Amino acid sequence: MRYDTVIIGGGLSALMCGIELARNGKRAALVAAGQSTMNFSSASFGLYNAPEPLKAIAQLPQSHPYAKVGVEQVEALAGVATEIFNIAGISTVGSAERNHKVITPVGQMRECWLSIDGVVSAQDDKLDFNSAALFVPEGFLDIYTSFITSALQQMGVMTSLCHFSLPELVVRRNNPTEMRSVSVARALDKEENLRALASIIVREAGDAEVVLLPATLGFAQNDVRERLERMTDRRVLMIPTLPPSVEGVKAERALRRAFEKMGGAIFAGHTATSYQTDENGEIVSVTTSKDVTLMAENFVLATGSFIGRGLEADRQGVCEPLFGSDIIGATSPLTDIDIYSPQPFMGCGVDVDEQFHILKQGKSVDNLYACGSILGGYNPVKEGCGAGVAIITALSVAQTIINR
Amino acid sequence: MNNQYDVIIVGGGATGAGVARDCALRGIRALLIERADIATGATGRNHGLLHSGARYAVNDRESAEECIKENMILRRIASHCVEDTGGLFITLPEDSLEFQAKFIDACRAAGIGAEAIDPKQALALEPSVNPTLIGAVKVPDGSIDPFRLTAANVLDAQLHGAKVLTYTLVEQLIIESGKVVGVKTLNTLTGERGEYRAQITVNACGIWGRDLAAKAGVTINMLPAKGALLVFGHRVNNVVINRCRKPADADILVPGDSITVIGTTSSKVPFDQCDNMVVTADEVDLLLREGCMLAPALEHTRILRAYAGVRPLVASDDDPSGRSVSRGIVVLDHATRDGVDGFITITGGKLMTYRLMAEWTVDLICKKLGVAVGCTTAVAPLPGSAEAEKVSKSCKCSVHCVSAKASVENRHGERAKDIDNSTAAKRALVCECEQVSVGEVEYAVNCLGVKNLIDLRRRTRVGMGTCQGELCAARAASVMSEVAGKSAAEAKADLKSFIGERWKGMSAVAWGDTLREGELLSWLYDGVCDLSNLKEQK
Repeated sequence: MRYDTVIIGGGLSALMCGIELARNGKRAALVAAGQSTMNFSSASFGLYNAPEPLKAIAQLPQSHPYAKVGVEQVEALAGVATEIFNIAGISTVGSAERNHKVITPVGQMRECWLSIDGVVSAQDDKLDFNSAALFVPEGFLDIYTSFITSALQQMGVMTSLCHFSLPELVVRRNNPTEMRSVSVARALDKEENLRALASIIVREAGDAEVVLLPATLGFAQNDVRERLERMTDRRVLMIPTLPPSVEGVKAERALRRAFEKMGGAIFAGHTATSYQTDENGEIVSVTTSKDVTLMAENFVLATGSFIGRGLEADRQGVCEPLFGSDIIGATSPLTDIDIYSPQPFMGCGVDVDEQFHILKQGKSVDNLYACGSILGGYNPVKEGCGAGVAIITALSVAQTIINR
Repeated sequence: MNNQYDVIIVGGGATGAGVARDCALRGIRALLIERADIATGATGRNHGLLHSGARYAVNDRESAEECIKENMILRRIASHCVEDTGGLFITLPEDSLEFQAKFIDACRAAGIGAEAIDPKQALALEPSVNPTLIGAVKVPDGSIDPFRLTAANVLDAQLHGAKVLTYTLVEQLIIESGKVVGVKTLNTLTGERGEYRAQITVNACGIWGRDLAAKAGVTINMLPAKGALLVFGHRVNNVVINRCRKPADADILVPGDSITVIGTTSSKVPFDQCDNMVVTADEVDLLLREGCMLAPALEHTRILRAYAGVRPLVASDDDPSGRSVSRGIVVLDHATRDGVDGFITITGGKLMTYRLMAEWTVDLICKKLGVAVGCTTAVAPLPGSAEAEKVSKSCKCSVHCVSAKASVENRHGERAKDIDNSTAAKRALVCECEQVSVGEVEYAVNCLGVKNLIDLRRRTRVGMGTCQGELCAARAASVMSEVAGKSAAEAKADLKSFIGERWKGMSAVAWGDTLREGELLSWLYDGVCDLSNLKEQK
């Protein structure tokens, strides 16, 4: 099969790159090995940990992926990203000029750029409501009620707590390992369950300004929160949970659908295992674990960091297993014994030139690019820029390919 | 408040807990003081091997005999802490079969059942064993959960009237006319200071006993010997595998619950490192290299974490050079040794002989106090092992499924019936790897003295499984805050330190899947949850 561009990876960066290419008329294919790290994400995306992220990005050293893109381009591409989310039907709030804050699963408030609409968020540590009623499915332990209520209280919001149950959840609860965010979300896909919840809310919420629920509002359906708002005539907001992240999974699915709708192809369950080159060392094709060979003009490596298996570490060091790309940042040791200190391995990644061409033995390969968390030279956790780098570098690579 | 006791025991490892229990069973009023949680020192940092004694048979007959006797006793009194895995001593081509012959003779002389079996039989018994073996001997090794064992001793001591203070530091010994008459303490959680008095104070502090003795002006020449171990991500072997040669580094592979442990190394460390053991890359190399000789599958098995403990070795009193080390049990009566009355040190020995160490100590205490009650700890079962065989039928704990029921009974024996799993809310699982319910967390907080998440891990195995707490720690923190009445800020600080602690053991072996887990851990707790920016607690 022949494409303009084959993207190896199936997460946020691969999807963003694929969509940008597809909507500009390029034939693109994704090789998506399995679940992506969007399953672990919260319901928000960080650009950079600073009240005004673009100002901070302008100061970054040349080795940082954002510096290769350039701050003006980062700003422009941040706008493109918002547009793509919109096209995919994911409504977001937030701007790249000024971060807002979003509540974390343990009730901290952290800086972020875009949040999926409906997550509890604040501007300048101030929420726009004064009272709330928190509804928690009985036996569901992935929302930490005391952390959340105390965080809200610190921001001046009085919160009442109500545990609820629904006939379907009672049955599910007989197997406690089933009381997960995805199971609850699936139950709330069903009209009768949602109506039952709505009537509990109407009965129990008192005069609370907003209704809070763990981010488990519908799995297959995208409008559950809005429907619940209409049924209860209240504002309904979500508290993010630890994995699996229902909102992360839904966002991934929406992006995949948008990509396919634009004519993109997804080889799901395929892992790229080998590649072929021409006499100039340019990539001609990649072959997958299911023995499918995909030919293209351009190849983008967006397989992620260690979690996504884009990078692999053994006792000897770090490598990029598919192309054997040059690696930067593979310090020894790779870790710091304090988990809350910057972890050296976070800075590991494939070496790229200014246009994100991958370097092999010091020489860039003209039609091979890398984007997303497989890049090195930055710390996604400490800089709060994991999602931002995934998105911005993906769009930057897509535009380089489009302009080629 | 009555702060007068017959005996104060300092140190909440297996030995201290054993002394407290033995005292309580003999009607002696005992107070056990531990600076952190129970089983935090060497007790919780070893293989968890129920030695048959075979390892010592050739070189140290006395230790071997003690081990096999205690082995048989623990199988009876602590059945819920013991798993009868059996053990193999294997001879590899580079080892000598002559040693095997000598080994079997020595085992038999020490009363240890040792049976040579054909290498093929050994492979059938334990398919993970190195297939190049040329000889194998079956011995009655097993595995033992040191946390459970210590908790059961503490619980029984309390049931018989002993008082237990954890997170309490002994700042000073109270000495009046050359006699130790009590201790001054600091509660490290509340900052509260206390004073307790007793006729006798027992130093059961392991390697830290040197410092306590110094407070009485007594010198004990101790040699901290570090032992590093690795935990593998699943149960590679079902039978304990030892190397049949002179005891050396990393030659014991022990299965325990859902994991397997290889150890140990042995190296001298300075005293100032005893509180902060870090496993080095060289130690990891050695453990892996030798471990693969026992079970080649280890080469491709995920390593969950590395940890190390410190053996409290004591230099013999009659050797001024300090080179001659006693590996046996050391009871020091400081009245006769140093002219300091009311002060006894119990040290040396090993986890296997904790009960015997306690018996000797309490025999000495009885002599001093004029108490004429004999020791019953060799026959009286620990709580949890009282009616072990009847548990499964009689236990009314309505856990949702067979695996959860088995897990909870395995951990608490017949005490599982005290765990409230009567409602769906109580049955909700906090830790899915190890099947720990909300009810079990409540029981651990209310009945087993759990103060924080790390304590909870020692009592229930929360976070000890494959995910190392990645997905259950926050749940557990939230449940703990409700059950133990902690503020959200305290509970979050507890969560932060629990995750930090888990990572310490992972970072030494952070490559392959363990690095992946580490990246996720950092993402989730430093990134998604933003725990780094937790405001510091007072």
